[in-house]
Amino acid sequence: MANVTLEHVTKRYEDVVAVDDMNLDIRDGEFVCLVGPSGCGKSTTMETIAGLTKPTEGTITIGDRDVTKLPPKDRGVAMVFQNIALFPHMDVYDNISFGLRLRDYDKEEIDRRVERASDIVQLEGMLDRMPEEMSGGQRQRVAIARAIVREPDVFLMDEPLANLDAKLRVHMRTELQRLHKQLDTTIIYVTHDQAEAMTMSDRIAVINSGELQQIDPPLVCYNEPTNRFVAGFIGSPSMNMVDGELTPDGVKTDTFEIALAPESLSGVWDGDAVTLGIRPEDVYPTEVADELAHPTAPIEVSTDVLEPMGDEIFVYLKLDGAEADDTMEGERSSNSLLMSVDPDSDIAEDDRISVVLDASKIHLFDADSGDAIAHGVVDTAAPAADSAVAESEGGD
Amino acid sequence: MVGTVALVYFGGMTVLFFFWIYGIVSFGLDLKNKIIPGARQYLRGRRKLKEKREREQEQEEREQQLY
Repeated sequence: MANVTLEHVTKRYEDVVAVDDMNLDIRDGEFVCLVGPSGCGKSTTMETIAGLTKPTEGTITIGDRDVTKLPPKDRGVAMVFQNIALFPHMDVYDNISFGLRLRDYDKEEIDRRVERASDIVQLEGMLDRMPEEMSGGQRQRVAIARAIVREPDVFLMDEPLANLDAKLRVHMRTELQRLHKQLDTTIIYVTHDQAEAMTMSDRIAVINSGELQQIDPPLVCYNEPTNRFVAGFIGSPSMNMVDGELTPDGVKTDTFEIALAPESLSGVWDGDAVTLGIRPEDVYPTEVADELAHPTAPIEVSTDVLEPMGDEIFVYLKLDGAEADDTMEGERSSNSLLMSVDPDSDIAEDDRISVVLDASKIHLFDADSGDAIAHGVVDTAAPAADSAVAESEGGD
Repeated sequence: MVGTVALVYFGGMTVLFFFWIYGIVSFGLDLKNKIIPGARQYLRGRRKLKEKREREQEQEEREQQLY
């Protein structure tokens, strides 16, 4: 087991900066996911840790050793690749023991480690099989066992589940969590699938354009994203983003206004352009506004498309008075909202309804820099909020 | 008669030497514009393929160190 530290790591390919001044401190025994869109530099970051790529600048430390210039074999790491990369002419035993044989371990030690690893990944009785006789999930387990037998300080996993089907991926996710619990070894896991990152990791490192955006536990990234990119990337479906402007009373968008407590708006000024973010599960039909501690004033919308998911329905909402907007924010126009409602809701397509937002779940971002200004602001105009304030004042 | 023979002789020699010189010039131009660049490209391609093969082999060896 070992901690992994990246200090000012930069990787340049001629004009392209794949990793830009990356600073990471991964603790001993921690499961950290590097997550980001395709081409963001997460795999390059992992390759620099593995020793497959030399960083242009910066240092990499594993445990108390500076490994920046060491070859992969001397770094005490084992890696599981996306393409599994088993030798097709070797059986499972030979594939798993390949790394040990390369390092001249004696036969007894190899047998002991292979047996233990195959127990952990549940491959008992399959050691004499050829890779072609195995399913995708079993092959991936062989690749993981091949990494386990090395007993490395750090496991590196580069999208190991990307080639598996959706059901198997969910199953393997649980297996990997179990494996981490059992081995208690540092695991660095690269994925572009934010659901994988959310469910498995102790901390998520969100990367965009080679730059680290945020490294925090999954729920912190979800509830307190440091910027608009993290807010949009973490969470499925993604956060609603509506452009607006700060006024002395709150935030004014093209179609509605939100009154906000002034203390939540420190550091920004009247007239500043902001982006209001709200997750689909924090948008409610007005009928349930009473159940919320801090609902906003009602917003008039018309329903567009409904997506029944079984346990919930996603309702696409068109904001009344919004101009037709060709600019897409992820999968949606910035002049629309997505709401998640119960499956027994009687909302239909092309209905005119009003909705409220949970003001305590609203995020505000600077429109220029994208940096977060506030998470959870309270609507001072809403009756429930008034009463809440009155209660707290009375209590004082 | 002598005039005709001379005319045919000099005419024939002119045609012959014209195509002889034309052939040499064409070959020279082909050499400059097609044959030498083609050969260079072929050698460059082989060198690049060799370098690519070596790079891939090195990468594979490095990856195998992580198995």
